[in-house]
Amino acid sequence: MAELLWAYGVVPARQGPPAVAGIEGAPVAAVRDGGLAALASPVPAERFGGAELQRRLEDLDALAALARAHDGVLNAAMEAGDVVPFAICTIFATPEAVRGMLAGDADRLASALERVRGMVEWGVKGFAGAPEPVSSGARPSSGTEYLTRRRAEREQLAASSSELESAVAEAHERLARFAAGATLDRPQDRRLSRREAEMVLNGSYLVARERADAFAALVRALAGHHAGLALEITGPWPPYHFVREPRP
Amino acid sequence: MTMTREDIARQREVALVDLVDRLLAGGVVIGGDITLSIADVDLVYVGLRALITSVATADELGLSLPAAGGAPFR
Repeated sequence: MAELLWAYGVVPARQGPPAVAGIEGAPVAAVRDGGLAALASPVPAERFGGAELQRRLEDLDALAALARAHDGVLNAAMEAGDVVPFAICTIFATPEAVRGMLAGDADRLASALERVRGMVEWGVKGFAGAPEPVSSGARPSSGTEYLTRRRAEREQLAASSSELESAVAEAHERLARFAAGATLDRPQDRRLSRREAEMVLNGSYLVARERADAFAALVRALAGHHAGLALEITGPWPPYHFVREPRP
Repeated sequence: MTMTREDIARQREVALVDLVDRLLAGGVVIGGDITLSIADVDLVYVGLRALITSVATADELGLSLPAAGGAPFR
């Protein structure tokens, strides 16, 4: 049966392949060229060739399994050392093609490895706290009181939302200053985050491994600054957000 | 930083939506000898976005999905 090679990412050549299974449980090998090694595992051509793969990608369970396996190998590589993730579904016909890519893209890959050396990615998500009840439950005794109350409510709401905005901006700014790199994704939809609270920050930060505790402490401190902002940390992740070259 | 077994277990349970955020935003794109054409690569991203949507749909239908892996801080 013909095989293709699914490539997960690049590590320094001296760093061996991680001891985890890859896509569909296949063993992961290091394909070396010069100072670089691509982590790759065989996948059957009959299901991973162009048109067949395309069909498979329409099956969301299959895509989810590929995403998790891809991440699983990269995560294990990150635990062992440095890694530059490839985009998902980077597939080569032969080991020679992988080596050719390593040789051809050597400068670009080596500089990406250099940028993330000793670093991991942390995700920080911020959620808006439940809005405070604004006014007393008593019915207004007059039209004027009603209008006054409504105005107070509006002002308080506006004030708390602008306070929240500046708390989010401050949190991101402080985290970015601490980190070697920072990027923002669009906040996740409430149904996706599986939280009732609205997501107001979806940041990723590139942080030196040995500063992980200090970074977590900073996140906790920032969460303490503002009662209306809850922060949640995910990771460590392979440095997904920090390996693409800045667009010219 | 050393990873404990617990850390590794937690990593395995990462929320798919957090992972897809990263896969959509990240990873080096290789040209040249790969077996996928650019159009196919775009399809991968269409699929990933659909995956996000399907997570939302599953949630609406009350299907159980792994919970988010993050530790809450207040």
